[in-house]
Amino acid sequence: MKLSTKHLIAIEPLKKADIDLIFSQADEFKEVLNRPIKKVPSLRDITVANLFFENSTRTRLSFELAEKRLGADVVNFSASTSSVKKGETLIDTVNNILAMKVDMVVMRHASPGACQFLSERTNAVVVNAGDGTHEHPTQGLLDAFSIREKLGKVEGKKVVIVGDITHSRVALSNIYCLQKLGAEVMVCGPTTLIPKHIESLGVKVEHNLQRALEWCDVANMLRIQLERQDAGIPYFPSLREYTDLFGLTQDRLNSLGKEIVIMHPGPINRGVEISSEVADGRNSIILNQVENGVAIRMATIFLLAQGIKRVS
Amino acid sequence: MKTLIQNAKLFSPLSKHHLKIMDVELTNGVITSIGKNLPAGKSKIIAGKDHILSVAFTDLRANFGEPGFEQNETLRSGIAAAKKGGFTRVCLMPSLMPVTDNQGAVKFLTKNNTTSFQILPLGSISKEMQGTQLTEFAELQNAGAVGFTEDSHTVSTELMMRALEYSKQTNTRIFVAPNDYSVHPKAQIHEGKTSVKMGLKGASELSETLRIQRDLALLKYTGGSLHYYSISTAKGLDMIRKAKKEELQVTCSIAAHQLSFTHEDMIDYNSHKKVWPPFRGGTDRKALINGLVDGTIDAIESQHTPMTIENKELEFEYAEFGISGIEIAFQTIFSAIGKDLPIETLLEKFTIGAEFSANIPPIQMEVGEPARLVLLSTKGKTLVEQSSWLSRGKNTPFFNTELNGTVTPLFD
Repeated sequence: MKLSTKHLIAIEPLKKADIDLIFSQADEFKEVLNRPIKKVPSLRDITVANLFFENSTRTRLSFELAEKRLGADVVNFSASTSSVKKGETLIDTVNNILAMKVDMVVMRHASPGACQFLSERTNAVVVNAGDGTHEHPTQGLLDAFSIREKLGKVEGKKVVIVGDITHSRVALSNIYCLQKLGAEVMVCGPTTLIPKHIESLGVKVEHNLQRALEWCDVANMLRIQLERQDAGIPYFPSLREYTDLFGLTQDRLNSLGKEIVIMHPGPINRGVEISSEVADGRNSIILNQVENGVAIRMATIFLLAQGIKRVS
Repeated sequence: MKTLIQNAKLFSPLSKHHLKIMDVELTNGVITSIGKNLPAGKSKIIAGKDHILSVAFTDLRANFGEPGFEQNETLRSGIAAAKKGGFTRVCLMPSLMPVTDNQGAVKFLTKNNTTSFQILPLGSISKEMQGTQLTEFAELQNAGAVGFTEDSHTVSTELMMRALEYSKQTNTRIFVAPNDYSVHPKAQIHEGKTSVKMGLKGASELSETLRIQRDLALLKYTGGSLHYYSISTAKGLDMIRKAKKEELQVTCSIAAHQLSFTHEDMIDYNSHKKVWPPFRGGTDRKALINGLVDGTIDAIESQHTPMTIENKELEFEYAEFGISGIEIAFQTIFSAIGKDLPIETLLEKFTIGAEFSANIPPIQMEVGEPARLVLLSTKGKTLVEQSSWLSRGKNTPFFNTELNGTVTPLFD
């Protein structure tokens, strides 16, 4: 079985069969990760470059671990776009990649479409580790994978994504991935942080957290990312008011009279979008998401590497 | 030297020969005879059968780079590209360095004007386009400025008010691109499903209609004269339609590329399609076609915005807005909507409609007039290739595509 795509730029163009394939491969790798020796030497002949043009700790670490556990050679490059002239770096980087015979590039970048831009200009396989406010496909995959693990299946489940949808790359990948697997998706957040035409993607829109929680089986709480908002008039008046309206607390959960699964892509602003009690509570699968992230990234890289011409 | 164009359908709305099939004789760049079956003699013969011989085009909105931005376009390269596109007169934006805000700057741009090709500079409304002080309209006009504009810069209410009031006494026109960037900061494309899918900030029709609404209110108050550039929305067009019915002195134009794409075509993040105003939806596109047919839209402008490839071949958000397109302006819009309206209607927008909007005397196809003519084929094809591209700006989404129609300039 092979993926229908050479690169992983976004969830949107993937087929359900691709997602199923990644999940079943991730199941196998998850088993490997629980062995005393957590490595499989599948990609010893592959070189992967992790290019992070935006700050990231956990995603970069997760990718690097995934690559190393598959036995790949790994090189890392980090730079902030603000410290270099915009655009130049990426084009130069492309040329450098080509020169260094790198097989696969994992890239995070502040600009939507940057991974597509890169994939059109290099022979290397490109994996999107988050491109601005567009997509973060491996996060979408690992979130759906974690729901499947916790609830047995994704199909028919109701998932609400809460927070700043406008500036999120996780939201779109989640929406596409969950919908392809048959879940119902709602987005919930301040009216200023929900894109106007998002209903056209077939999601429900709610601005009242209580109603959203009553509706859902799973709540995915997004980090409020003040740094990704534009300069100018802020989209909401204060974190205090945000927390009051959209923060997930134990009291709110208790009022539901049912159990729901709590997720967060991290890093958490404790006490802002989610209280510590909820984040660390028994319904939280936040750390499972992190664990599954490595398995999903191993599966993605492993499957994409099948498309690379290799010496057998 | 004589040239004889035989059996062409003439397009010259003010001529008695308009839409008739005739021969036209040119001698040393002057029209010397128009008639049926003119003697060939030793003339160079151009077969005009199945072609339209039209008065040459006037462009209302183009950017060349000289002075200040010669890396984008020089006067020489811009003029060559314009001529290739069939334009014999080009209204140049004042966004230069220095800004076209004084008579010296106007004269610099017009210094190479000939009978067959003229740069028609637009002066900036405000000094250095800073928005704080009016330029000397009368002096600039005397030097050759045909109107005043702040190009794509936002014009404050106070400045617009002052400009419309003051322009009345100089009997000049204010040209404005109705842009309110503040309503959708950092917008990259039209706001809709595609902008959501691409993770980009979108601009709704408000970015245009807010300004049109305001300016029309000011225009009504001042009684000045206004041209709107680059209309892109159905609602904006409707406002202008109503204003025209109220007999306000208002005209408008659209960019030649505006109907080639819709916002849904942006999904591939191809920055060569990144323009402002953005490509809108299908409903807006249809409304603009209707606007061309019913005459609400007076003219088609090239919105020629040449730039170096380093400013375009970038991540989408970092790429600048604009298409270099003066040399294929006619073919671009003809390919997009040639089937939707009569060719004569389209040609009016490049000729008499543009001349009326710029408030300049129309080009005549009469004996004794300079031969500012273009030969058009609606059946021919133009292959857009970088190797034959004359503009310095290689920023076009049309390379390696075949456009409908051909344009052959018959002027020097």
